[in-house]
Amino acid sequence: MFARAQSLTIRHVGRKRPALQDLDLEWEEGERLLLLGPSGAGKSTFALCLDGLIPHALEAHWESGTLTVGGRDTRSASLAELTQDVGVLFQDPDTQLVMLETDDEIAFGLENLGLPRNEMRKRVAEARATTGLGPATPRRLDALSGGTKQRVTLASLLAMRPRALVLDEPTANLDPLAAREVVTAFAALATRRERSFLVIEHRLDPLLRFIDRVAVLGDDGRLALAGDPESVFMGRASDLDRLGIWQPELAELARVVGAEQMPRDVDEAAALLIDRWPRGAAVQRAERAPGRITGAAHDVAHRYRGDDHDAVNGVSLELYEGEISAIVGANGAGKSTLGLLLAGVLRPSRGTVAASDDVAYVFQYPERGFLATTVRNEVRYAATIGRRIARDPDALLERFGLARLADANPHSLSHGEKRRLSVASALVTSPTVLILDEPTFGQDLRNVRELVTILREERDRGTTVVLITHDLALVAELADRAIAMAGGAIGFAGRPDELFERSDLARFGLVLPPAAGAFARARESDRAIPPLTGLGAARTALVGRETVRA
Amino acid sequence: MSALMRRDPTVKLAVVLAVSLLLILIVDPVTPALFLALAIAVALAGGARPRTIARALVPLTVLGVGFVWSNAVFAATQGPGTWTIGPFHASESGLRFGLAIAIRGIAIGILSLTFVWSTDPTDLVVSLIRHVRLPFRLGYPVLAAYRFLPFFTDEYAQVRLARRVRGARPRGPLDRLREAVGELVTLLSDATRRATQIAIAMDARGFASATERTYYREARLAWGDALFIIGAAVTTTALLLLSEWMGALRTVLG
Repeated sequence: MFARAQSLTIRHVGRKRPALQDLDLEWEEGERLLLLGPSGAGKSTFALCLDGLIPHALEAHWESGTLTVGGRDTRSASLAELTQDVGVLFQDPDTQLVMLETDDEIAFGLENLGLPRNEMRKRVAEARATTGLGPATPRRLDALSGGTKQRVTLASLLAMRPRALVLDEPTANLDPLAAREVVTAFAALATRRERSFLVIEHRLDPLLRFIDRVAVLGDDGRLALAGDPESVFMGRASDLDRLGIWQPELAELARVVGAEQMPRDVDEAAALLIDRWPRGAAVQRAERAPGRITGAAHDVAHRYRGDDHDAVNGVSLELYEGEISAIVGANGAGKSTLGLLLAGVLRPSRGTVAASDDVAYVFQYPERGFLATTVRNEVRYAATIGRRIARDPDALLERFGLARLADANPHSLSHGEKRRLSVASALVTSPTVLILDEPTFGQDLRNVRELVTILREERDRGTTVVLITHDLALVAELADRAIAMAGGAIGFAGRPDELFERSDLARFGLVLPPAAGAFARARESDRAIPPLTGLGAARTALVGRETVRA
Repeated sequence: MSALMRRDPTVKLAVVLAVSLLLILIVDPVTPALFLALAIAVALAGGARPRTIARALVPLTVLGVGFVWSNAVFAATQGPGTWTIGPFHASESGLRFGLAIAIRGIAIGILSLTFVWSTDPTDLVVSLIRHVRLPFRLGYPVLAAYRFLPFFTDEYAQVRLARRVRGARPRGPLDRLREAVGELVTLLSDATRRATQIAIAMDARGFASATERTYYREARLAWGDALFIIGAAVTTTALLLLSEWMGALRTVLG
């Protein structure tokens, strides 16, 4: 037994409800444990308890129960012992790097342990080798990509030689390619089984091979269920769904085709499809007649002041009424710049933009655009600057689950609530064009589902919706048109399924979502398997077939 | 890496402070001009590009011209004016004094920047901790905060953009002030969140519980540092003697 929580109840200062409640959880020595739960269920709180930051460095009410880690009661053990036993990798790569250069960063924890310099040198070299940080890795941390920054932090934890590692949503702030980089580094460690692992994540598919057991926290901070991955993801899917927890796409795909066994990677899922997919299930596409043009860019370029290259270069594009388009591409491909040009916020340095004067733009970090001191006034803000309020603000607050927070300060909300508030205040004028930058970033399943429902409603009302995103699963689910950018120009524009079939997705910084990847892999050996974009498309295809049969 | 970059940061800082203090005591324009020439020469030898130096000189010179102007005109209201330019009377003694403090300011500015250009921030913090007993619980958070400076300018631009998109259009001074406060609140709430997260990350790697901390970077004083101090003292004395020989040297002591 590595760690054991017994009726552990922790309440954060200033909160009424405990973050963790009567939690009983065991974590075996050498076990690779996946911890799931809806946002706010106390997963991160538990991570902070495991390495002793609660109660030794952070204030929180320890209401009841005990937690033992490595045979020590965490309340009586010293923080030094606990942080040496358990290393924690957090979510945001930029707020857990302390130093300016890679080697200093890796050595930071070793300096705190008081190790002699020779030993530090040895361990830094070792940790770099384990995490694949070769001599080509830039010395300065600010030159590193998000994924590499996470690997540097991982290296700095490994250098301290902890008995256990906790990974608290290590890929939540990363784009797909960077996330894959971090997952690959984790997989290499997990395969070697040299220590215990506890992983908190919502991109589950790439982890399925490297997990021994799954524990699920409920909304109330109690343990809701636990078991091996197969029994949880195949047998308890409806419970997970009710809790609003992300599930592996591959497990859902297996259930869609009526399989009992869970595929643990894309290859296994492809084999399953070849075995079970009903041939001849027709792929139906709802063709939409394009509506009125609501915005257009013609041969547009934009260069930011002080830059030596165009962020957007030679882009032509039209937006239509009642259509959802998704702009996808790697970081720095010019997606957000194009969005801001279409919104009329940035002026083109060349070319023309015909933007509707009625565009709402929802930023990736919604709090940066908050202008009022209460949630209610934030939603009504459009009225105070003389814009027409087209929808009842109170009804919108109700619809977005913010009514009880109407008097709260917008900055005090949780990330998901801030996002919903920014969408609500964008919709209050019933804009012609609604542009959302990375709308699913760091959101839990419930929030994403709600957003999908809302955006579909908007489309049906005739609103032009533009998504700027890395999330191809969202594109598959929602978008009528995909626009892929690379180097400031449009490299592809067409239906999402056409984009998914391209072999050069990496050029756009994209990775096929697991279910789409399984169809693509299956199709390589059996052309009778259709190129479907995801679970939604698979379900539709099967339902279509059932109707034909009946 | 130039010889200047290899010198110990604490030693360099001490030399820059000592020379700057000395310059404050000097009230003639020639001596600081000699030191300015020296500072530029040292910066060039230390690896600074001429363009970088030129770009730093522009704002310093603009500030200096302001000094000269205000001193020349201000002094003239008290003593007899030497020249009349339109409605302004300027005096020669005022001009001389203005020139002195302007050039002194530029010289100190270039000296300090030469220190900044030639010093690695991590080396500086480690050296201060080792040699002048700067508490490490102060030094490391400062280093972490330093990392955030570029984020901050970026974020400020983002906040302004986001607020403009939402429809913030300040009109009049009161409105503008309110807008500035709003921007500041947004920036601060974000900075607080970041600071909290980084503090947690530091403690999770044993910073809070560290007692006998060791250092990965070496901060050893070398013979070169002693030579550097001697060299600085000799050069300073030589420049003062040169200025005296030219008959230009004036200090506050008379």
